[in-house]
Amino acid sequence: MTQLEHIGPPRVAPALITARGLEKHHGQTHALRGVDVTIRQGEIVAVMGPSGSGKSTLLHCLAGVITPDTGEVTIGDTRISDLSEDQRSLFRLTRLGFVFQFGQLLPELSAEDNVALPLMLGGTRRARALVQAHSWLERLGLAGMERRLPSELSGGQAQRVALARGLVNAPAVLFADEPTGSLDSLTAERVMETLTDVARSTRTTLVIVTHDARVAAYSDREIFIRDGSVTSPALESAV
Amino acid sequence: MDTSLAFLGLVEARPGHGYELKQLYDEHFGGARPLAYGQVYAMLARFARDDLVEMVGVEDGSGPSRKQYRILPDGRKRVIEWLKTTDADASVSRTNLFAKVVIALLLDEDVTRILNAQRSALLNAMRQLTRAKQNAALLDVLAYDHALLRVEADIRWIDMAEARLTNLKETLA
Repeated sequence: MTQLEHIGPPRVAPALITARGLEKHHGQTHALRGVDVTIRQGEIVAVMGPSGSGKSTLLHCLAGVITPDTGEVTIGDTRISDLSEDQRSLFRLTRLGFVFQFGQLLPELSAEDNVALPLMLGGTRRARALVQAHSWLERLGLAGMERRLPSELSGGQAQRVALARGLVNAPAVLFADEPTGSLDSLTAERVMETLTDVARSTRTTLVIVTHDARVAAYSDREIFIRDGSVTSPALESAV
Repeated sequence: MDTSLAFLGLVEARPGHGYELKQLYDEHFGGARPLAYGQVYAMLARFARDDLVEMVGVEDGSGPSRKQYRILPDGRKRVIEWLKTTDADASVSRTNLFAKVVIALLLDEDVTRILNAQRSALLNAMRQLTRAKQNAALLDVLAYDHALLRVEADIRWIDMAEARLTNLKETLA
């Protein structure tokens, strides 16, 4: 039997996201059944499970996009389940980043404006927001493409623009939902390498929802969910 | 892999002496299992006996003399025939994990728990391969791709087995 090495941040890193007793119904569907999750600062975690298992619902609850029927979610010092809808919206805009699979870039905005958007919505002036947008676009290998519209970008380039937009506000947590789902294998590999390299170098906590084991292989550990319940140890003894 | 034919292909691509050919083989195919010198010289002697390669000279040096080899028409033909053969495998294997699932079902053990533990271990193996692949030379990347996809196939098999568990339990009851 091979002795597996530990991959990821030191086990002593403090918990950043804590969810306790999450329950969520969508109509008749019991999407989450008492889910407990702890994710440490700087960890890269894959949330896995078959279609309809509740993995996207879990991500949306952790990110404050929806509120659970019962249970609570804390990110850092903020108990987001206690926030009003406006407060949650502001929290997402200023503290969290998002990367999704499809249709995430606004088609009428250039790459630079797409990236600058979260900063401008948070009150940063456009000129200043563009400086940060350019810095991220250059870091992700997209220098010279600032003025291009999404329709003028390849799938991989568009996904890196989306990644820059997710990172531009220096989020405490970056949430990615099937971030390579629409890409071919080689482009998906490059996007995952970029995503995890940036997360590790900036010590950004990264939560990736995926059904793809090759994507999950970039994570430090996985949370496996089936029929609304976590089946892998989401809480480690060291936490 | 057919070591002998891959080695013969290298003689055609890069004619040279035994040591050079061994180095070339190890670089391209050796991985953790480099060729033994005895195996190299036995293959070259056999190729020469069968008129697949010929010795074209001896390079003098400070060490032992180095015999230079190059491919002959029959050797070239053998390599091309090998390249044209296909490697599709439609055999059905009963793996160790397959046996564990069947026995666990017969013993009424918690199969889901067993499958979850296997999935987690396989994902850890994929993590190690992914990490190694990120700093590897391109030929090694290609080898890691194959290893990763094989492990992934095992994970997908676990997903299928789990989806079939209810029916399997009824069948084996």
